[in-house]
Amino acid sequence: MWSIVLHHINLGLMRHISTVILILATVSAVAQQHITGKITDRKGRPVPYANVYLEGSYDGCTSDTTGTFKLSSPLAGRQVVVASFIGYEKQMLEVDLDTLRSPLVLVLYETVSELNEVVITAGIFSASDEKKSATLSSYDIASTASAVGDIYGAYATMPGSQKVGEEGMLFVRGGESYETKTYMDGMLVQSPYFSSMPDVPTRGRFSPLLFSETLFSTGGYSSEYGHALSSIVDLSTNGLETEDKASVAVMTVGLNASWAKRWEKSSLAVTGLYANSTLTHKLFKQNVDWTKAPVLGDGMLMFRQQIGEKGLLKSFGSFNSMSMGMNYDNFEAGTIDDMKLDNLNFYTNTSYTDQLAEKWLIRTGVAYSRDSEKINYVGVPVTTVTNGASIKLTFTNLTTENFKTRFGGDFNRGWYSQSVTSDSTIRMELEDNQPSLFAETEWKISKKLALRTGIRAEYSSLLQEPALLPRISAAYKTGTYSQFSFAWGKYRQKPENEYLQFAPALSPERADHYILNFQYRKHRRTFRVEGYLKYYDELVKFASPYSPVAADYNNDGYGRAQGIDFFWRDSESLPGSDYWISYSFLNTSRDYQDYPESVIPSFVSAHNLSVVYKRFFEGLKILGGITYSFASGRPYNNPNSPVFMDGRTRAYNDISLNLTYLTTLFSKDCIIHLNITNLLGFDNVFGYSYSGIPDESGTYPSQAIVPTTGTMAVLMFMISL
Amino acid sequence: MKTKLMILSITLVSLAVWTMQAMGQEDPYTNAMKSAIEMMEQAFEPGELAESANRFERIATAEKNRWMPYYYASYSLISMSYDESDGGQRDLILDRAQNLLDQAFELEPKESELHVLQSFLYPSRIIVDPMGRGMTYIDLIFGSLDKAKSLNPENPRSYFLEGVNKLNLPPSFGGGADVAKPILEEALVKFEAFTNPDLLWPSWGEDATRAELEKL
Repeated sequence: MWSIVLHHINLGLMRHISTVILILATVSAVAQQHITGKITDRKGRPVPYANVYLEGSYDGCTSDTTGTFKLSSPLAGRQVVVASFIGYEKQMLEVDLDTLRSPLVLVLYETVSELNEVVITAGIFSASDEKKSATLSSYDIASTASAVGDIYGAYATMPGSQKVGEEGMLFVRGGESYETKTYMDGMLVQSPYFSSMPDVPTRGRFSPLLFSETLFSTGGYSSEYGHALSSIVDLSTNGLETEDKASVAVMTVGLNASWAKRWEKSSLAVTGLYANSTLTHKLFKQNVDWTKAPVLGDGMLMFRQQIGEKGLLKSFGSFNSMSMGMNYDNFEAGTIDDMKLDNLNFYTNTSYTDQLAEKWLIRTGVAYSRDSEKINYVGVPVTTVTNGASIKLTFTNLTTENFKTRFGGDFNRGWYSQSVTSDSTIRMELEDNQPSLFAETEWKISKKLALRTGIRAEYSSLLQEPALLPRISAAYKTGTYSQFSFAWGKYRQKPENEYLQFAPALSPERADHYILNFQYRKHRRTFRVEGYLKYYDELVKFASPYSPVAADYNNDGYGRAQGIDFFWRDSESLPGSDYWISYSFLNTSRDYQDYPESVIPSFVSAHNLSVVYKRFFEGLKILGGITYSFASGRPYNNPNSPVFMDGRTRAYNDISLNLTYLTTLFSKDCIIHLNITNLLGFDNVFGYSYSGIPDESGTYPSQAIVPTTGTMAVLMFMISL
Repeated sequence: MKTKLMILSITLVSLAVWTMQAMGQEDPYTNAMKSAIEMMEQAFEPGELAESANRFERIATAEKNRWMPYYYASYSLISMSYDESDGGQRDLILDRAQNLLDQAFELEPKESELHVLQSFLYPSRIIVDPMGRGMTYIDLIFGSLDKAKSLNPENPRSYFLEGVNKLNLPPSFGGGADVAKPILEEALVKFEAFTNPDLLWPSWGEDATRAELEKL
């Protein structure tokens, strides 16, 4: 009995012992294989610190400063050697460890990263916090002194834009302000600027802080964008809020409160603004006889919801109400006209982006806007209501890493009405449905050459003239840091509603763009030079402004613009400082509106210069910014001269300054911000108005069109709760 | 004789079982991680940190379901990035570090240590472009630290990094020595009370906390 038990124990024991011996034997007896070799880049230079290992195992090593590696592994047979290093493509090589004797050489190729990749830059200035190829960050947009927190004001310091102080809108490369269109999250915005009165500059309705990415194109833009002859501004709203926050700000121009809440997969942000210029008007002498200082009430809501892995739903809504009144000095008629403005604007935009499948991206959205503007001019009410609804769908197919296709369509519906009540009410209405389709491919033919070809099909139910608009752009890298870009395209735009309401049979205005661009960009220094040619055709002409007779309008206008833009930005040479310089030379003429011949239009200055400088003063804890703007004289028409539009104003100069002081009060973060425009009080003149009645000597007296105010300051105190 | 044999066999059996258990516990993963962590703790030169990151990345590629190899690989690269003077190159290193950290987040989104590491990465991004990135990233740093604290209020590293970040922030931005000192002191208390859930758990920060406190 005992012996049987022992026998069993012995057998079990022997098995265990043999297992132990076997394990020990395996551990000690495994022969270590050695693989040696060298890691180089494509030019044969050694790549140090590369990770070299056998796929699926821990066995590996790091190459030394000469690129040499020695890898030891107990594995045998066929294995895959992997070499990887930051900034390079991973390289794999299958080897048979049993027969491998000679050293390996593995060549690593540089990854095409955002910094060294060939990117089409013709006509494009982008601001982004994410993309390293961007020229600006969203902070740059918000902190440009002359812009006073206006997106369009910041882009006015980029080359290609004109300083037109009495308008406050973007004028690009010889184009009128209406030739620049704004898109938000891919959809057309009908009324991006606040309503305003004659010679009172306006600004954008949307705060730059709402957008993580903005794109300003001065021409040659992709076929995704339509309805714009000269330029587009594409604003991408922020994603999910990063954290809960709340703040209150008191300004010399009003009050602002904002609140944001972040949940796991969604966020909500609400902002309210009340602005009133009364105090500013008391402090700074006004060149306008205000009967009611501008008052603005503004509410904004932003909701974001992450859907699934990559989907994001963004919903934006804003509402604002503005009013103002003045005694308008109508010098031409020799009267002082009572004028009042009330503007109500509602805008909503919901977009959704997602990855449908591995290689398919979708972006879709709907937008609706309603703008109602009531102007009471010497007791005559003029009410203009502009409604717009948009829907858009875009697909992107990432066929390969170097080839992608985008296509989609949008549908814009507009309703417009204007009614004027004097003795009786005259009401004009317009309705238009504009479907469009677009497709484009982006092909990186090699690491040096990229080509984008696109086509856009547009139709308008009102104009009934379908069009096919081809666009091509390309970029060629001439070195690690330099490249050339080229763009060509056909663009067209529906005439403004104020003309169409009297002459609905007008045709779209047309423009062709040719752009050649050179960019040198190393680290945080960028130099760009861009030459362009732009041909305008079928511009709207009329016999006299506001003529209600359809026959007074035609498409016989034409024009041409050519110029050269320079841009230099250096964010690294001066410690703590950042600056950019833009200079544009523009040569243009056009025959449009009621011009008798082709001349340089009144909004054009041949030379525009902007210098923007920002610095953080560490000792003083102050962020400071200063801008200098210069524009050469603008043409104006002097009826005393036989030559049309041969007057030239004196040059425009402006120095603006902003200072931001960050501090804590009652353990809350506070910001004190001061913004001064026209610091030195330059007497700028935008043009001249002439009286319609000559004086005793037979000459028509003139009066300068000047800014509403000289030096002006805004002070803000903000506290985060 | 039989008794002797029995004692011998029992001894041998227990020895064998013990050996196997011991070998089972010190599995290849733990072994590799332990030696890589030891090496990382000795690493100071950028090259040594690159080598350390490489070792963790190799373990990560073979052990795709564990967050720690990704964590340490990312940690090594972030440490290395602080010595890189070229902004473009620093961003490349940080892109890789973020990518590794994102893979760790996918495995363990609610791990406090990962949020701490995220807040350790951001300041290096700021150095590339202080004016352009400062505002955004300062928010992100403190956002990550709040998240780390809410997931594990006892994690001493979130207090340590909060203290250091406050210390580096000028008083006008809500920072300075007076603000930082009590936070660092709290960090030290938390470090002394903290017990590592397992032997590979991150353990950095305690000596640095003492060093920072001594300077104050």
